[in-house]
Amino acid sequence: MKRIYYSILCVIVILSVLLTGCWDRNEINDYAFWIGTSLDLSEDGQLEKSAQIAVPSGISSSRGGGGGSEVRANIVVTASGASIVDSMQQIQDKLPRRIFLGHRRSIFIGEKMARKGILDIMDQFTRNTDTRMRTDIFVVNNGKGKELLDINSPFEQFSTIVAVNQDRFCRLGDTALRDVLLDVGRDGIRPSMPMVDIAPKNKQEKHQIIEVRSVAIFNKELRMVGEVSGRESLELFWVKGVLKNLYMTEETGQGSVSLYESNLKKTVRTEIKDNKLKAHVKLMGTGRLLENNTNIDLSVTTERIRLERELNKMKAKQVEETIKKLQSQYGQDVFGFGEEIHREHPYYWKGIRTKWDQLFPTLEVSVEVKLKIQSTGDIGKRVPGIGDRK
Amino acid sequence: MKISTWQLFWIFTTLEISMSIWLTVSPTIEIARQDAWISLVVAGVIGLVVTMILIRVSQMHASHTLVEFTQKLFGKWVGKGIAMLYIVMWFSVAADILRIFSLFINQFLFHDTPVWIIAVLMVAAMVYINYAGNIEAIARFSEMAGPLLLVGIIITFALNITNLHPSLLLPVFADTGVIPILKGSMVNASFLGESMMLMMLTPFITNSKKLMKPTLLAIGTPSLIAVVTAVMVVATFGTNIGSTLYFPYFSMVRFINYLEFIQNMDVWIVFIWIFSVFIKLSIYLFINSYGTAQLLGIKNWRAVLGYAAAIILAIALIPANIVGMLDYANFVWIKYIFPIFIVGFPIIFLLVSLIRGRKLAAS
Repeated sequence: MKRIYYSILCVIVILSVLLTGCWDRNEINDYAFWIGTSLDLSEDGQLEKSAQIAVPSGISSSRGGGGGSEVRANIVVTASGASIVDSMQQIQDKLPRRIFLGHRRSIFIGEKMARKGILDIMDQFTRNTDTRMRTDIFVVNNGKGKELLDINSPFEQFSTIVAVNQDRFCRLGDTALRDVLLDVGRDGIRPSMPMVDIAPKNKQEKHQIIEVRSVAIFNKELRMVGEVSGRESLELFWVKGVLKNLYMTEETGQGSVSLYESNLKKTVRTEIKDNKLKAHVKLMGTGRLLENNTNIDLSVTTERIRLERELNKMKAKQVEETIKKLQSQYGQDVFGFGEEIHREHPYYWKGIRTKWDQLFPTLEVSVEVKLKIQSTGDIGKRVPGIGDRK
Repeated sequence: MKISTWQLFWIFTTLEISMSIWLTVSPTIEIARQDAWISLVVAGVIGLVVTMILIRVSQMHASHTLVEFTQKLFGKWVGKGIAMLYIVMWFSVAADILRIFSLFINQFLFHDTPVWIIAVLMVAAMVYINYAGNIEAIARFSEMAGPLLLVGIIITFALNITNLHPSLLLPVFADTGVIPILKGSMVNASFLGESMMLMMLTPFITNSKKLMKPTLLAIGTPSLIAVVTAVMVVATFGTNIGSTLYFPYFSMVRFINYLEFIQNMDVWIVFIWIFSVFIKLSIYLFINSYGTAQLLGIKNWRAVLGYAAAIILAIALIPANIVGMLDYANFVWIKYIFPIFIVGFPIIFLLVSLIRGRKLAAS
């Protein structure tokens, strides 16, 4: 009998200790979900940080309202401080709910900040246990990161998520932060990061549309040194090996041809001949014909092969020019040729590891493109009468 | 109190896996860079050889625990001294693991909960399984938790395939060389040496003649998982991030985002993984209480259980932060415990047993 009393007493004591204080009890209502971060350089040289925070009541009303674009589902809060976490405290002071970083999707860095260098702010992204490494990262072209957070996109509640989705369709997707961190601290490759443009082309696009079409190039100290945009940026990522598909249009001289290329691959071979470094890039892909404004009948194999060869030659020349431009203009190996040498000639690499920045502009690169036109779409020949150029 | 050899397999597999995905990968990558997987293969081979010695020793004294057979081999006082060293060491290991575990849960799941609460809850569960059941209960529990853990880990590996950059594993060998690879292998080899607890467990195994295959398999499986983990971590995060993260496997699981809806899997994996740490700590508590009871000549080992648990808890709550705890692995476990307790003493045991055995046979 005594034993039972003791055990009951024991249970009561344990329960009273455990049930009264829950230190990590958090209701979802108590959280402010942090969706996007922007980092800018303020006028007085401090770090200016803005946060795009979800406003739950806004989400439900804009859904039910049907085009009630007056209500924003998010709020942008700004603070400036010496470090990221310093300004985090200030942002928390402005919010009634507790900050929750686990759902942050992207980081936007103002161009001014990027050009000053972002080495000092990167530590937090891997250290802070609340953040996830699966995050996108952008440089905002000619602007401040905050401007992007202010955009009210018609597609999504959060302009941050719009940027991430747009990036996924054309380039890196939400592994960008990891990809940048992978390139930092390796000798044979320099980091590159997608850029967003918010400068509107016409009135309707103002405050609604963002564009992801450029790539920022960084040097070893994580200072932005330049950018390439459009076709050249796609070629950059193709040679780097991260591009998955692209649309390409080539002027053949008799009219233009447009292809959709998927399964893009690259191989790089490097060789060292009497202390001269050479790299040979081979780009491959399979394509689908989308538009044919020439009189070439692609259902005829000989014609198709002739066109393929011509396209390959043209593309190879373009890619070569892009690489040359990057070599001479910025001198930063964003393609990772150094890492290719590292992999193929590891012992030779040990000698040139530290001087790669000087050697990269002298690297001789030749490009070979092997695109295959796998299908010509729904028709082979063109429908008679359409666009005949007789 | 009898367990089968395959139950022993599950106990060892689960408790070794908990280490190989948790503490061994990051230090190995730090030393052996992208060749960490070679290091871990070497570590597996070392672990197998060491375990083979341990099995031989244990089989020779199948009906005795370490505390008893050291006294038989070296006389009462020397034998007791050696046994006491072992038990003190096991206390320190148990306390260390309990503390890192509590800090890890504190860091990963519950930021504001005091560390001691997590530790006390774990100790309460450990005492319960030992008191209510005994080693049989632990064995049955690992038969359940082990397969679950294996399946969970394999699923995360499969889902992580899309994040891999295989080129990060190249160049093989050229950047590191023989010495760093061997040095890196010491980390996991020493952790695999935890199989030395076999010397305390043989009297409880039904058929100790057939110990070789299940035990070696129980070292091989976690080694294989460690190798795959290292390959995955290096190919996902590269060597720079991979070596700086404390718990790269869990960061990697966090990184998984498959089809936009399979994400944040780390909570599930941590959940299953807690089972395996629980098994490990419970086994240590069992060994410590049973060994202490035998050492002090106490008939009922359960009487020691509460004291042993209290000592483990007390030691676990002393050190300051997580760095100090990981130092234990680097400076105490690898440098002293591995060469002395896992390799040195068992070889001496084996030789002395062989000589004594012959003498006994001759007389």
